[in-house]
Formats: sequence, C-alpha cells, structure tokens
Amino acid sequence: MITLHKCLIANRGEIAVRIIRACRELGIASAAVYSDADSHALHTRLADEAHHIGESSPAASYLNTHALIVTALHAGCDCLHPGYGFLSENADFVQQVLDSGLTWIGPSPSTIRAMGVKTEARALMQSAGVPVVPGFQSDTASEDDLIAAAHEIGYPLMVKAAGGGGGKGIRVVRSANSVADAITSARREALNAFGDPRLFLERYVEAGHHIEAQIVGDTHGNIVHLFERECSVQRRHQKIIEESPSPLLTAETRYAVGQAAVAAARAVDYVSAGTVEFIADRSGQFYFLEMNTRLQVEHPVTEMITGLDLVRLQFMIAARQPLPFAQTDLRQHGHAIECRLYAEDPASGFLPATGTILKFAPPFMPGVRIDAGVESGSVISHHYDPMIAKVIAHASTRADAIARLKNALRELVLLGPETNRAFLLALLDHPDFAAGRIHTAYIDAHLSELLPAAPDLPDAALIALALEQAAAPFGRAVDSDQGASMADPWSTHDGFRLRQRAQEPQ
Amino acid sequence: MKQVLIYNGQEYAVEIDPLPDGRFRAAIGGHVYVLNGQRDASGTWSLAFDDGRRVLAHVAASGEGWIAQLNGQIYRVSPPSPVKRRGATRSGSGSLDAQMPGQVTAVLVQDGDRISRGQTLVILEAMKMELRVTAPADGIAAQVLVSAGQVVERGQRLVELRADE
Repeated sequence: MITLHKCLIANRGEIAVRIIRACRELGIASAAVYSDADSHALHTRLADEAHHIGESSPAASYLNTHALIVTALHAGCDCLHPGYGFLSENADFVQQVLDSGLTWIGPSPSTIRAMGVKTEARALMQSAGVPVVPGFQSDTASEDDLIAAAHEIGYPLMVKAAGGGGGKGIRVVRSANSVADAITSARREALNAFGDPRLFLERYVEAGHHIEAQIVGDTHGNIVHLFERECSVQRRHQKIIEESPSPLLTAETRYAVGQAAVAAARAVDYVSAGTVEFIADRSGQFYFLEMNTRLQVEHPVTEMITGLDLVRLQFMIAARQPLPFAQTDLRQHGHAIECRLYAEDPASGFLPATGTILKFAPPFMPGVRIDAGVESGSVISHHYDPMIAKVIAHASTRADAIARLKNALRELVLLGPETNRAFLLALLDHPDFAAGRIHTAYIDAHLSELLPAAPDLPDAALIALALEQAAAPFGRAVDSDQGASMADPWSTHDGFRLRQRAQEPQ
Repeated sequence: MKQVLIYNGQEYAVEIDPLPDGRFRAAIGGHVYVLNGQRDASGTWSLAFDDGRRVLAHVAASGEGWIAQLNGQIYRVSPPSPVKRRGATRSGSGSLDAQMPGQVTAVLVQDGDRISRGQTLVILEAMKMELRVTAPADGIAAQVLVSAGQVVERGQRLVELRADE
C-alpha cells in the first residue's frame, strides 16, 4: 500500500468539485487547475490550491498535457485524477503521468489502449466470450470495402468512429443510398474529434435499450460489478436521464449482464472504476458496445443504490488497497434516477445557450443529490460542455424516485440561460417513460410531441414581475451590483440587432 | 400604476396599487387580487394572497427583460419597447447570422459564389456540437464576414446574401 498526499485534478466543473470533496474526506490535499475562463469558477475557488494552466480553449488548458504534468510536479502532487472527458481516456497522457512519477487515478494505459479503439475492443470481447453486435471492422477498409460490408450487414446499421466516444462520429444508416454520405461525414467528424478517421459498422439494434454495468477492480486481482444503469433516454446519442435498476431487465438478465461485465473487465485486467456498455433489445438479448475506462458522468446513480463512494474507491485502489467488499456483499437498494440539466434551448433545436447564471439555489430535500460545478454568478461559456448540474433522486421505488426527482427539479432555483428543465420534466411525466418503454432512438423520433409548449403566464408571475419592475425599472435590479450591469440592454452584443432593425423598413 | 409586459409575443397588463396597510391591490383583466409582497435580497418575491394562497417567485433582470421562476417553470418577459428579444436566426433581409455562440470551423463559400438552397456555407462548433449554417434560398454569397477559427457571438452576421438576378 502507498499513501497519497496531494492530488492534481485535471478537470473542471461539477466533476472537479466532486473530486475535491472526495479528496477532502480522505485527507488528500487538492490542487485544481483552471483556464482563463475558469479563473473564478467554483472548482478554482473550492480547492486547497488552484493553478492557472492556459487560455480558455480546452486545447490550451484542460488538454494541455505538458502544463498539467509540470503543474502537478511543481505543486508537489503525488497523484492525478482526470475526472471524465478531456484526457481521462488518453493512454499516452497516462503514460506521461506515470513516467513523471505520479500515481494515475484510473486504469492502466494498456487497458485504456485495449478499449480505446472500439474495433480492437470488439475483437477482444469476442474472444472473452462477451456477446458483441454483428458488424464489420477492418483498419485498412476503403470506402468501397465499407460500403460493400454495409450491404452485407443489411440496414439499418450504424457507422461508428473506431477511436470515438461521447456520441461523435456516429451515423445511423437506414438505406443503401445514404451509406456513402454517412461514411464521409462520420469520417470527417471522427478525424476532427479524435484525430482518428477509422470507422466500423454495426447492425443497428432497433428500439435498443442502453444498459451499462459499473465495474471496479483492484490491484490484487479482485473485480466486481456494482450492478447496471439504464441510460436509454438519449438525444443524438447524448444521455439525458440515467437510472438503476433498469426497468427493462429481469433478474436473470441482470445477473447475466453483471457476469458479462466482469468477464469484459477481466479480459483487460481492469483496475479502478469503469463501465461496460451494452445494447439490449426488447427480448433482453444484450450485446457489448464499448467500455469506458474512466468514471462516468452518471456514477452518482450507482453510488446512491449501493451506498458506495466511487471516487473514494478510485483513490483507495490507486493506493493499492484491496476492495473492502466481495460481489456477494453488494445489493441494489431502492431506485436512483439522475437527469442532466443542460444550458441549451429545446425550442431552437437544443442549440447550446451561454450566459451568466443569475441565480442558482439547489433545494435541500431528503434523498436528493445535486452535483453542480456552478453557482450564482457563474458563466456558461461556449468553450466547454453545457451541463449545468446533475440532479439525482433516490427512493424505495422507481415511481417514488421519479416523483422526488420532479419535485427537486421544480424547486431548484435556476435563472439565466435557457435550459432543458421543462423538457426533462415533460420526459419524466411521460407515460412511456413511466412504463420503461423509452429506447435510445425514442427521443429523436418523438421530439416534436415531447417538446413542452410555452406555458401561459400565471397571474402570480405577472404580479411578481410587475412588482420587480416597479422596484427596479429599466431592467436595473435592486440590491444587486452585478445585476445592474448585466441588465443594461446596451452593454452586450447589440450591434447586430440595431443593424437588423435599421434594415426592416426596406 | 399600470404595468405592461411582453411574454411569448403577447402583451400582459396589470394595474398594481399600494394599499394604506402596506398590501397591494393587483387588477388583471376583470380579476382583482389583494396581496402582500415581500422581496428578499436575492430577488425572490414571497406573495401572500388574502385568500391564504402563497407563491414564491424567483426573479432576476436579464438582458432587455426579466426572468421569473414559479414552480419550476421559467417565464421570460420584456418591456413593451421596440427592443426585440434576441434569437432571430435569419434576418430574412439577405444575411445569415450565427444561431449559437462558438467557433467557425469551416467556411465553405467565397464572396460572389452562387449558392443553392440548403447548401452548407459555414460550419460552427460549440460545446461538442457542430452546426451547419445553410443557405435559406438560392442566390449569391455577396460577402463572407467570418473566417475559419474565428469565435463568433450568437447573432453575429456570418454571410451577406443577395438574390440571384
């Protein structure tokens, strides 16, 4: 066993905040890093130390491997936690971290490499006896080879980026005449996002449910699963709502998914926390999709139903301690469900929204957890992911957890950029969600009927707004220094609007 | 005092008058409410109606108007001035504006190019998302105002268009 003293947190937002708090509980000092845009961010101010690592663009800061390692060494850190996204699954970076003498809070570079290229992961899983979706993979395939293979697999099928993740470089192809186009655009997106143009093909599982299993492995060869999460509520392959237990799985399938996940993890000697993703059809037949060799955004769902702290476990495992439990000690308690609050505008095609969070006040309620990297006054910029917070509810039954989550979403005070809150509430209210019938293509197919109409203005809202206007005319907030400048209608980006108005009489 | 606000493109009027006992009288249409209204430093109004009903309204000034949250629902209102709410996508008068803030990753058109409806002219990227800005109609790209790598604000003009003669 080794003892860890100070951790560099190579991330931002809610996950950096989450890791800082875990460090504090473990008696490990936390060193945050920040870009220009995050100089006043919550994680920057909450950590024991904070170090500037570059300009706002991710490439100059949170993806700046050299600056991160130099900062970690200079600050006297002995370990580095990558969070999720950014460099968390970059095996070359992990190797650099290890070579510089730091402990990496995560799996080994060889594990990440084995799973990072989706085509290699598929082959490895096939040999480990884990079921994979029928498909085609070849690193040397030309466009024509891919098209020929696509015709053989049949439609619908998916074109996927071999080096991908996060929903990028994925196309669903429904007919032969659009396959060439899909391959071209997926390749461009894959090259831009991952620097890797390789693609592979998979049969598209219609109305598939996204089931993933959380696994943890220690350095002593123990690997267990922490049950499944269902993340079928997705829009354009981005998860929106995640829960555990899955409403789809029977006890037998749940057991089989857990066994397959452990087999998958064992095939790559998995150490630390990871996730094995499967797609399941309505009959409960499931296939390996990919393995995420990092902490997941939705890890709190698992934490709430198991009572475990996954970040704490990651630190324990990195310190070479054995897992403090065996598979038979673990149970799913009750039901947990998470939704992701995004700064985006559902009414205009979910375009990202930016701006200042004027007020953020999470509610204090039993069974509710809110993981947020923002607070009142935080700025949502175009540089980073538009997630504002994760709201997670835990209760004894699924219906109770849904009711609790809706209540928390309504009571959370969040004023500022447009968000998807009303859309989330509409989803949670939907009878198909209550019945567990949502599959991964459901949202995109039913979007128009799921978008809530703008509500009528209640008299109480009109009265409150009129009182506020009377108290603070011309948009200038009372009792608030920052409100005054933000409210000034002439302070921001108005040039285009004036021009536009001037053109109207033509 | 009469207050008029624009919500969702419609005018809403309320007549609010203080009463001698510190309460307010609010008239909306034919309906009259009597209530107590208390505002805390953060902009939350506690409304206590004389029939016992209580409402919490979280309010903040934003841009050219105000935002209110009641029961988890967001209401954005503006004063009835000629200042328009942001968010116009295509001005309709021969230009294309950025629908979201972000970075220009590609400009696929040059000054004077003939363009056809649906053709991708500019690709924007922000927060893991790619947005293709396409031509709303056949015509000419009169002037391209951005270049690849440039960061643009929401609403910033990207391309001036003119009809194809």
